[in-house]
Amino acid sequence: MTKEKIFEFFKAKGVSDNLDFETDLFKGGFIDSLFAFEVVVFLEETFGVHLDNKDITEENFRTITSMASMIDRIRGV
Amino acid sequence: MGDKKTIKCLVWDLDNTLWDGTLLEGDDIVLREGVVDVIRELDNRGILLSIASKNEPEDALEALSRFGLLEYFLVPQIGWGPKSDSIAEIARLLNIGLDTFAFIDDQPAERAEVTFHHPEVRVYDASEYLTLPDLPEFTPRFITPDSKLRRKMYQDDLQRREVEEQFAGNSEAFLKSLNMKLTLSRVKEGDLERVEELTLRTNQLNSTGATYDYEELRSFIHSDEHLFLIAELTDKFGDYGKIGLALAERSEHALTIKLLLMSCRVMNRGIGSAFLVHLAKTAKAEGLDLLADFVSTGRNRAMYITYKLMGFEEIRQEGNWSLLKYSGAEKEYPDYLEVEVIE
Repeated sequence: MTKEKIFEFFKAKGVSDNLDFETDLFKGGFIDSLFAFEVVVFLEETFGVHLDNKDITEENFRTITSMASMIDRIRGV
Repeated sequence: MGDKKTIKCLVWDLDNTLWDGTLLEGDDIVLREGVVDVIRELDNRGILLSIASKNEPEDALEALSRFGLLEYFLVPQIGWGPKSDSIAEIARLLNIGLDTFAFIDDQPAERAEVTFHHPEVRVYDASEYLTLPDLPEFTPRFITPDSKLRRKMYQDDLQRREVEEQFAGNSEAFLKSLNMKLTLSRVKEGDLERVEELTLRTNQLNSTGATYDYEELRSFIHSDEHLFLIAELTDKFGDYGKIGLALAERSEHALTIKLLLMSCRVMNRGIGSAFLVHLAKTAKAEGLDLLADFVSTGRNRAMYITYKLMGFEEIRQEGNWSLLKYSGAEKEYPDYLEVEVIE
């Protein structure tokens, strides 16, 4: 479910026509600079979590799968 | 800076504030004496003006246009809702904080209603209108070419946003359609007033919140240890003016970004990325590590996230200060942005 919700967010942003769970979001230049802030706020609000500074890494944000794993880890799911 | 912050937007009531008389009651309305001078003066200083009025929108807009004043007011809110909502809507549309808003109205109840919901908005009685330009909060330290163009820039921006909505959320296609050109160049003497203005006005997209006085800023221009860059952006709708700043300090082994900031008007335009890509290239060419100071001010988390997701890692942290180090592979400028670097 986590993955699907994040997927919907990126899809709605129109970031790519052939987006999947494993797309490298940095490579496509999809996440850049301040769009990144929007992503963080979206994740925090949608999943009711707070991301610590240590959670904000390129690895955690590289793909939809890695974001979902981070969220599930924080929520202890 | 607290309540000393200068006002970025003044919201006017109309009946018995901007003009004498009540439009809806069929009065023969007359502009208050000297009000046009006040409007022109504030506009010239780069203070944005808007309207929150309980009136029939068409009649009120028609009256403003008859007085030749319509063009001065951005996103006027004329209708029957509470004025606190109107002001919140103006703040949302212009993307500026309510703590830089002022509101002028002849009705104590309207002022109280706004204060109740938004205690940070500064309110003035209509009888004070002539004195506003003399108040310190309406007196920005510098009037630069950018401040005089501010209204025009916001108008361009509102137009952009209308087009953006037609792209139905497809940000990438929208960004490409803007034909944006970013110029990064060294700060020159003539830029210093704008530079100081940017450091004072920019809170959210500011990596350290550091402010420098004019002489300090001037010394960075002439210092070999400093790389001091200013960014200017244009697109097919017009000129955004000078909207970003980077100050980096060279030491034996590293280039350290002491300050990175950009105007909220260019949020989500890739300016932060472009600066960081350029600085990473510069550091690499000089054989230096790229480091960055980040100081949390409680409002600038967006900048921390920008650094971290642009390939920086936190290597030290003390209190609200962090030292970040660029580790990432070489990155390229966002492809929707044409970047020109003037050495």
